[in-house]
Amino acid sequence: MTDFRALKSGAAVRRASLLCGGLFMALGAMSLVEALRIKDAWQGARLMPVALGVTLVALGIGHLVPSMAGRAAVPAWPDASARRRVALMFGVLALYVGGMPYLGFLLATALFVLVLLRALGSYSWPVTLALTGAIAIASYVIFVHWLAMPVPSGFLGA
Amino acid sequence: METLGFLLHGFAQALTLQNLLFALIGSVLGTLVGVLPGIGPTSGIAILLPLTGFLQPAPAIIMLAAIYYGAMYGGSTTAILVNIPGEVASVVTTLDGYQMARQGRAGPALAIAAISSFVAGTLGLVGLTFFAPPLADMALRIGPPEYFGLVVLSFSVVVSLSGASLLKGLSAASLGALVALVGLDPMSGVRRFAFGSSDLLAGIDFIAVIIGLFAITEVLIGVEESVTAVSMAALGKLMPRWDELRACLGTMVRATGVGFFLGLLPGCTPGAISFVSYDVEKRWSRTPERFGHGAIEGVAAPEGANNATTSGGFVPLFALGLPATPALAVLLSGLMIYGLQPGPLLFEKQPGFVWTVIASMYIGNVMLLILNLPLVGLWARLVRVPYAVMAPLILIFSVLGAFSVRNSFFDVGMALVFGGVGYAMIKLGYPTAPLVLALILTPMLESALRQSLAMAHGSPLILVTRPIALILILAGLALTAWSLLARRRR
Repeated sequence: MTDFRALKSGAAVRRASLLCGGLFMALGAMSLVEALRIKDAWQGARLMPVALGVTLVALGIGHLVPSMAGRAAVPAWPDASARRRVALMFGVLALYVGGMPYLGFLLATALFVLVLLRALGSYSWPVTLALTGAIAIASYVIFVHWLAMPVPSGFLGA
Repeated sequence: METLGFLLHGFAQALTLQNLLFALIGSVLGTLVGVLPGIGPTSGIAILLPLTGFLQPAPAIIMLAAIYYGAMYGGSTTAILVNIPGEVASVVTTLDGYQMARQGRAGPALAIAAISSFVAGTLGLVGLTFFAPPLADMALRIGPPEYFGLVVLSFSVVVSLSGASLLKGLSAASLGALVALVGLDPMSGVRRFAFGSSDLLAGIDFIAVIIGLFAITEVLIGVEESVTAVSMAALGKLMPRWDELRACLGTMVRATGVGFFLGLLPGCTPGAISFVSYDVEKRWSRTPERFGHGAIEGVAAPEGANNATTSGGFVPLFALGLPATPALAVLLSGLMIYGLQPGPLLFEKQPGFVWTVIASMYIGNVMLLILNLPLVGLWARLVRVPYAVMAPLILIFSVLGAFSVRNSFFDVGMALVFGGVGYAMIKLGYPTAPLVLALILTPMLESALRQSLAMAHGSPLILVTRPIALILILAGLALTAWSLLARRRR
């Protein structure tokens, strides 16, 4: 009887190996091109890029050799809903970082905490708002007020 | 006997109320500096140095030194509890410490980190007390070819950190080496992998990479798995069991040896040394398969080594005026501000000052143990904080930690990128520890190799004609072969 699960995991390993092998070969090629660009003696600034380029290309080829890559573990990609949660978390984090210069540390942090508390927790609105205020204000007092970290102040001036 | 007399006199001075107070302030600040990611002992000492202007030299240096070794104690706390290394030297502590926390054993992990830090830090101070001048002389004989040998030896650790697939471990290490090369070449000033970006020209900061790989990745995995807290397991006993303490005694002694002797060498950072110590312990163990899954020795070894390293680093600093780490370089400038010229004559001309500072370090280590052990219960309870609250806190700390390095959003962006890279690596079965190790070692490897070649007018034979260098390289190759054979047998 055909073991479809084994076939599926075998295909996933091969796909991941191909992808990673290609990526490492590309990085190796980039390193070698960079070494060619550098005008210096062989034992100078180009020594490591050359050595590393060759190593990366060899490792990339290694990924494509089934006997070497075949021992690799099956990629443990999450299911669709977990993938959505991870993407949402990463997106919210990116928005927090990207929005901080415009909104300022305090407001951006408060919004960030509010979104995460709603997305990850199951608190009532009053508790969510109280936690949001406590975390945002405590971080502001410790890092900006006491440690004088020059974070953006945004249009609110905080 | 003369040394003992000087030390006792130092204790008499260090035990005055003023010196005790500044040792305590330094220890507390050092612990805080260690706990907060991104704010290391170097920046901690640099920030406080101008503020010590009103003090006498002894209390000022006592406080600054306490910040340095106190940071090594504090760095383990977040590494164990939430997988964020507070210090570069605590990266290895995450491997087993965080696993222990997830198993509900945060208390014993935190306690063994404090105890091992105390034991190794104190044993290292004994070395500093009795052997400083001869050891400093020895360390001075280590040239670039010998450094190259040392780095080759350290790189052999990659094999044992590789996990299930050697190919993936080596690939991760190569990725780390590539990241380390980005920016201006420190020897010739040539641009490498900058692609016209002024931000990349300054290089990719180590802290941003660590924050991304460990903290952000960990949150992404936590969200994926819908965890409700770092650990929901019962907290159990807060202190390690007697049999664990007994087992860790040898670990602490070995960690002291590794940390202290490698710490004598300028350029050998606590980050690299803690990796070596972890590897030594894994090889020594009869059950190496426990490492990476919550082995208590895996916490004791790096934490002991990084504290012994701080003691070792004071040997070349006091005896030769050579700082082994960037934090000690800032401390050296502090000594010079006070008109103290570290070097062979410091022990003769300023014995009162030197021995007071050394004695204060013994006292500071005791203070740190007393400060840290009672807090174990409090810290350990943090793993039960709901993840909905913990995740934003970790991420705010991560963003601020990355930002604080150079006050730049580029570093925060890099932390985000490496958060994504770390997540993909874990999902694809690539270990992240070799990447971090290569990131630490590659600049050392490159400068040692190029300086060696320059010394020999381009001939690589210099690496095999100097006996110490040759022995170290052969030892590195032998350890690699041993690890490969052990893997094959498994």
